[in-house]
Amino acid sequence: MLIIIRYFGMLVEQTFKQQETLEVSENSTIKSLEETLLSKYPLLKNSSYNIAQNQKIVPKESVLSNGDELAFLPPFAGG
Amino acid sequence: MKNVFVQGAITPDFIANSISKHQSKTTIGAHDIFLGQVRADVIDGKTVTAIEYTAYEEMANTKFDEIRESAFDKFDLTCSHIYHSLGTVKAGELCLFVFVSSPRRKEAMKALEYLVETIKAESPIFGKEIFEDQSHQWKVNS
Repeated sequence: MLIIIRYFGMLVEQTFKQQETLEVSENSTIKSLEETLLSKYPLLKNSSYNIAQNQKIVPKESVLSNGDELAFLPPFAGG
Repeated sequence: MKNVFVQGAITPDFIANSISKHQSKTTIGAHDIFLGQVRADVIDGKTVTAIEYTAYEEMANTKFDEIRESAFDKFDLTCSHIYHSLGTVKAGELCLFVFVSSPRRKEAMKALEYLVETIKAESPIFGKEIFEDQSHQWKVNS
């Protein structure tokens, strides 16, 4: 199944992209996706972030569905 | 859903116009306003000259709606508005405008503090602090 991943703030500097689409297997979790991305983008290991699934920050055990949008969100700085 | 984002700095004229628009709402007895201004912080000897704001806009607009709705639930408010800049805002310019109105001042003041603190904690907005030598670092709210 296909999921969309978006990167924000300093994480764009570490992945060199703002967005990508990835193929993942059925029953993948956010945690398994994160592990894949950490080996693809080692600089992410030094960064602090939350992961949102379809605009909600959820536990990493959350299971992915086809068409999900995941966002890697570094610390907030609004205001 | 309201769009909260403004390109570039929020101007004093924008704020004055916003206040003018509320003068017809004569059940209002108190307005309270918060303005966030970009501060020229000095970090390791370098001065911040601007912040470049980006955001996960769809999530931020939904989040702002939720925050506004929860303020209406918690406090007796007539009106509430939130505006945040995107793009480059120079030191001394305004990047956040929160405006609440209520029949009574105590509700307005409490609601404003709640809104500002919740916005700063929960909105997916990111700030790149740009120094005078064009180097940068990423801002983290405290």
